[in-house]
Amino acid sequence: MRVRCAGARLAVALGVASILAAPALCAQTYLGVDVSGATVHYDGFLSSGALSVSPSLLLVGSGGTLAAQATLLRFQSGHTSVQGVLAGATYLRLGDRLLAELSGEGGSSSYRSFSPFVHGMAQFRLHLLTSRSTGVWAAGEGGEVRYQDVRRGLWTSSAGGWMRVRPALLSAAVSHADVGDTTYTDVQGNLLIERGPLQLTGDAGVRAWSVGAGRGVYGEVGATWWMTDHLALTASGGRYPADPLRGTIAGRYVALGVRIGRRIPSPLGARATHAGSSDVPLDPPAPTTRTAVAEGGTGEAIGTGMAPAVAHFDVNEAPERGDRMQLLHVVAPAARAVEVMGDFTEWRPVALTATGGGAWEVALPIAPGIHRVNIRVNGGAWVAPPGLAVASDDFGGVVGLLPIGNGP
Amino acid sequence: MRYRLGAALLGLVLVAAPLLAQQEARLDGRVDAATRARLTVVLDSAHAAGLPADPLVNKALEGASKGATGDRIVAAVRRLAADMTRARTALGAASTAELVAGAAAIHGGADPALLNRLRTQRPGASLEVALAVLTDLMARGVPADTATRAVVALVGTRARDAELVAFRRNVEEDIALGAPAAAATVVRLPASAMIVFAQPGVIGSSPSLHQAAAPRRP
Repeated sequence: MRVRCAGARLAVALGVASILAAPALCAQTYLGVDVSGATVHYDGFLSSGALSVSPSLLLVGSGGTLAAQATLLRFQSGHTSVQGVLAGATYLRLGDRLLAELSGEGGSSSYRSFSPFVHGMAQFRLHLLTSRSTGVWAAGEGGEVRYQDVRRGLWTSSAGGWMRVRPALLSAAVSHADVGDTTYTDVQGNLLIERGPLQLTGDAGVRAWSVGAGRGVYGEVGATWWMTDHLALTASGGRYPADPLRGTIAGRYVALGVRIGRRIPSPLGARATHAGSSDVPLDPPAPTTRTAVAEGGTGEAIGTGMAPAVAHFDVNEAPERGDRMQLLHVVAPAARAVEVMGDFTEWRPVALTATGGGAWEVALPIAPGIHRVNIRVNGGAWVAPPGLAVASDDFGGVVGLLPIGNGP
Repeated sequence: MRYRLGAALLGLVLVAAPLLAQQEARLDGRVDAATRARLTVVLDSAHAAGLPADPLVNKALEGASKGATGDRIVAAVRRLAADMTRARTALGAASTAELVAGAAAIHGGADPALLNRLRTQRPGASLEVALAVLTDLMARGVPADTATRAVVALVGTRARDAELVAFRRNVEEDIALGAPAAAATVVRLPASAMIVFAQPGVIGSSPSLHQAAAPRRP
């Protein structure tokens, strides 16, 4: 038992360390506050109206993430509940598909003048990315909870998987927890759907086995509607189970509110828009040649009378042709002439030579660095070659940014 | 002493003046006389301010080849000179390549104060690649604030140029696969990629990390 307790304290210490180490350097800061009105019915209590104010802070750094959150609940009775939590995580890549995560969480909650519930825990999690849109994980967690001067060790183990199927993210997990004499096993599924300004969340689960933590089915749904970049309406409701790790009891609720703060990037990678924004293309259009560039850099001319599109463009070193020589290779199947110009040609057009099969090429001396380049087909408009980053050229058109050598 | 200083300055002028003349000569036959005269004034001013003429002449040649009017060419060259001045103020001592990259970054919307932070993070080392990555990200649609903070974060962790290049490529791939530029950038930051995975109920460490992403239960 002593060993178990010492282990729990070591886990808490590790958790604190990971919290402190997480934001080695803050790259993104998300500060927000949720204000909502709710009706809540905790198991064993009468239902009550409640006003909730919940500020939150999320720091995303190159060393990890750190989140802090507090919730103040003012019940109809005039009584107040306060919760606070601080959590951090650091990550270590073990390979292209394997990732280790060490995280920690500490928090406290109190209601009226009752003794506060305090928890601290550390978790080690191993992530395996099975593809770009699927993954599995397994985790172990240890820590300690304290209530009324009684300390109890906690241990959990869990495993799960997830799948991104735009616009949805599906996940499922099974977890088992021991907190002192309380033990329970949950099976849970989650769903996240994101469409422009709308985020929908849902989860359903079952506490399949339990001693001292209740059993049964639970589920919640939530919706967030981003009206502007910094303001959203929120609605949520459902039933959630008791959480012996954090000292909350089971309950049902319906809440409506607003969220003020920057939108956190979606795990779906969905476009971060709000209700009033337009879903415009990110890259400026080519000036006159209408080119449909598909994923992978292929394309075709649209309509008649337009210049044929450049389907492919790449540049490779050509040392056999001389010092600093680069071979520019273009695929433009329907072209009669292809020209390129850039800062490496003194902005004079240079004709490419047809090599058959719609391919064109030219070797030019180009020094390492980032170069500005344009291309045109059949004497048409100068456009940015496909596949390059595109920037305004200050003359009403665009240029491609061509990295050579050590450049990106 | 005064004579030596004067001789040194004279020497600098004698060396630099032909270089400027060489650059200006690149405009011969490429722009009309009136535009050439106005560009000469801009180039002389830039030279007096210690800015390199080469990128400015390149800009003028680009405009000429694209058939821009003289007014537009002169305006573009002036704007570039102004951006290079701001870049130099932000970066301090900088190579021509850094100035050009810095000017492009500022033109794309990067905050000069954050460029200055890049310099303090990498004193004495070239920022050309970092600035080029920044410019490229913004050109791909990453909001300037997100792009700049991402590059500052990477440089702050002593990421090498090769890592910056790899980061840019990863972001590019994600964007090509359909991810929005900003999200791709945040996700591809080495550790912050986990913001994606650490969503509630997915594979994140603690629900507390990401409860802000879901409506709050009371």
